[in-house]
Amino acid sequence: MHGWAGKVLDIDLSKGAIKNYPLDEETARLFLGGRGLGARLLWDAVGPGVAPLSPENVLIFATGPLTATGYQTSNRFSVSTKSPLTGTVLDANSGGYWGMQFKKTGYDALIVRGRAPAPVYIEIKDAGAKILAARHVWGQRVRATTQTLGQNNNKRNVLCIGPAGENQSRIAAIMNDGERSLARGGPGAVMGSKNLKAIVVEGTARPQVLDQEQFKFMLYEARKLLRQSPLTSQALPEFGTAVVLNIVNHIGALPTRNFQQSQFERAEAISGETLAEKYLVKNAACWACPIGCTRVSKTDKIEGALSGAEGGVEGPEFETTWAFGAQCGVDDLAAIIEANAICNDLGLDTISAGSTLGCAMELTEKGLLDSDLRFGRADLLAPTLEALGARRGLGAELADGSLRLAKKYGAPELSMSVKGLEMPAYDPRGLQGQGLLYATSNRGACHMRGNMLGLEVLGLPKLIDRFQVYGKSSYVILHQNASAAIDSLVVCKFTNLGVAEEYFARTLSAVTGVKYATGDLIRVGERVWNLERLYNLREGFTNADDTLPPRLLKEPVSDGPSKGWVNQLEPMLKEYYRARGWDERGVPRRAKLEELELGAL
Amino acid sequence: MATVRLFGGLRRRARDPKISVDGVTARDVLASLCRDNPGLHAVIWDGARVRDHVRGLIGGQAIELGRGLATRVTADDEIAIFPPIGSGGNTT
Amino acid sequence: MIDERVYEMFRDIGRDLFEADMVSSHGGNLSVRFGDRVIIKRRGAMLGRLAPHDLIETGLEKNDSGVALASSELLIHRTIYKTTPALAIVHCHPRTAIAFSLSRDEIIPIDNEASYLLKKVPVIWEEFASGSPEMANNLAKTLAEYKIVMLRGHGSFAIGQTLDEAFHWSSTLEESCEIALKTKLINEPFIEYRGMSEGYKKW
Ligand code: SF4
Repeated sequence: MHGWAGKVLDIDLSKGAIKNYPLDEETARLFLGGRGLGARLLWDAVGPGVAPLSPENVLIFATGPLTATGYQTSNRFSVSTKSPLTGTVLDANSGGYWGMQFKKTGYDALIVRGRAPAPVYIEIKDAGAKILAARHVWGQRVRATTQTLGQNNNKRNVLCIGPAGENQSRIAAIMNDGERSLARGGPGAVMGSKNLKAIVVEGTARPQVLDQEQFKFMLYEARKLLRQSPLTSQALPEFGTAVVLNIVNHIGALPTRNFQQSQFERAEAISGETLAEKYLVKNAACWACPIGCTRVSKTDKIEGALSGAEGGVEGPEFETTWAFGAQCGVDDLAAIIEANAICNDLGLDTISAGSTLGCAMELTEKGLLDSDLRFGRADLLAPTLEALGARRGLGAELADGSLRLAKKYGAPELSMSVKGLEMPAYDPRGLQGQGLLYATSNRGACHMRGNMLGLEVLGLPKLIDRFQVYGKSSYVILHQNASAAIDSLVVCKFTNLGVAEEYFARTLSAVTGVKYATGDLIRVGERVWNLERLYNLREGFTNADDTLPPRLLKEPVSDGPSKGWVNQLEPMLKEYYRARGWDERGVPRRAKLEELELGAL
Repeated sequence: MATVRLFGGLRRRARDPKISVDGVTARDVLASLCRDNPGLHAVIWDGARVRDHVRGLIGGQAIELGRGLATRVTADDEIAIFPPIGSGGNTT
Repeated sequence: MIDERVYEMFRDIGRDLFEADMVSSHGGNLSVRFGDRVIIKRRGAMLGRLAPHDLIETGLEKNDSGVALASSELLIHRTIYKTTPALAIVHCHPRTAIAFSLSRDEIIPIDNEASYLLKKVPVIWEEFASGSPEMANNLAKTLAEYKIVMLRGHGSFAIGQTLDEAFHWSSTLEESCEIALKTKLINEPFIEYRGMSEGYKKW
């Protein structure tokens, strides 16, 4: 096979058994890799009724046909599993170096099953895989583990969990290369439940490219496009994602104090502009990425991180800044940077962690929870996160996310989540399409499933009215499908700001020799989306779960440019089901499944 | 005098992130802004058009979805100008 | 009733197309897809002077009351929406591009802008009468791979997320063809200035 390595590694930790077998070519053609391949393998491996933290759940790490080819941002990979936070199908993806390195060991995917009797880590080299004792790193934090296991940027890469994952916090992330995260939906808890501390990879096999000459042309074109786009050549390198905060706040769509307001009066203090001015050390990039959106920042309290001589830490991204900032009413950027660094070291999803803290603050202020947490208490971020990672005191209650917390204290409506996954930093009352996106996202509220920010705020490719309801479903569906396709290739979504899907399709054809038109690539995305939907339906989810917290449907925004708006989900959802070829209850129709070659499921 | 607020990389090119500017329409305001801060001209204008991906908002609403550069501006209006912005988050 | 914003989009792009000499008084067509609905210009309406009642809304799959008034090209537009990711279609009659389409099977731009955006534009032939299902299928299949396609001697079909985007491809093609035409007048050998230019032919 070209592009694909053509092999799957399958490790059963209960039995200590290591197998490998060829990747089925038909599956590869239909689902590509990454998220798509992960979802397809998960469909067979984990059926309904399996508890996410039991040995019967699996972790599937998957790369795609473009991974490690050297194509721009071909560094990414994903993990798929049944989410312990939501109970839905889950995939999370990450950049850095690990994905590229894993592919170079000669595998497209790794399936981890069972539960090791004692803590272990897996080491994969060209020659094969080994299961090794991890007693010496169990209990260690992410940076220490990464270092101890020999992280060496281009040669040997470490993926691991921190204490949060070991303690099976349902919002625990898996971390790779020390600072990058597979964050959302709690994959770290699944890894912890398997007694698996880390996976170390060291490979030398570059994937084969079929049509070298055409591939070189595609590289050349992508380089040109990325250089010409002001987004990928200036905006991202200069400010990263953090610069979004001011504009989202300005239009009245920055959720503040657990979504009670939609503008944060102190936004300027935590903005990307302030970050650049006060705390930025430099920017950094993942493997084979000419964009380099990653921030490295530093405060007085942060030292000894992995990032080298400057002693900074990666981040914070916009989402993180929002989660610990506006969502918690905190205007102290140094405290936010520190919270981000702690989360990365404990192995926690920053969006869920910040949002859960915000939820606890509202519960406390409403007199439902007895704690010191209050909006604006920057000083409590760090200690609370430490307690959360260790499941200590109040931390034990926060460790399983906002929905479980809010339910316990009798106010589930205060959890700002969809299907149990905390919503990211965009208020769906000021961005109608984003609300539909959150409500229908298969892994719960998510901004990486086809972000509407481009169309509704940034005018990419063209501004559409953010309050318009009619016709929104078309855009949401197109972007959901496109993002599922991109997550299956796998390349970084930011490449897509300069390079259109058309280029990805042609690159894919040149690399693999399998012909994909642009339409075929988007169709892969649609197939993946429908398969994920089927998975959730099999788990017992229904159209009733395609909703938003009542606050966003019933409490109009009280002030600012989005004043008076709630999210008009219902008409959008109806239109969405129809346009997807699903019935009124959101079940894909037979004809749609046949068309997508999913009929056999 | 309306108030113009600048964001991102635009700030480096102007004397202040918050500037009072004269003008009856959005076009006037942008023109006199660039007259006073010549460094902004090249990043905001592309000939007689505003550059792609440069966003202007009055009171939080996109200028281009209203009356465009012909939009009337009053003294209480706050006009925000954003340079090109790459969207979304990336850790997931 | 068609949303006012949607009408404004049609009106502006329609007028721009007419003023740019890319359609005759009654020629060309525009449509957008909204969910499982299609909005398309009414039969006989003038693109340069669209009024709100010139737009017809109908189903993507099924006919309903609007359909009798819709353009005869509705079948083509529906087929494109079902086959490609398009959310908007611009069909126009760019004159120079049509002239080139008469003698070529593909138009490979020689100028910077169009090579950058389009790489190559295939020309397909209306073997069957315009508006036949075979032609619609052939056109849609080609548009699953290219964002703009020429119908020999007839005009262009371009797709995009928005009408603006599809209009952009259309005007880029016409501009490129005018440049190519002028180089014929100058009639001097080219100095290749685009790296890896063989790649454009293989696109
Ligand atoms: S754009 Fe940012 S996240 Fe994407 S590959 Fe480059 S550095 Fe990594």
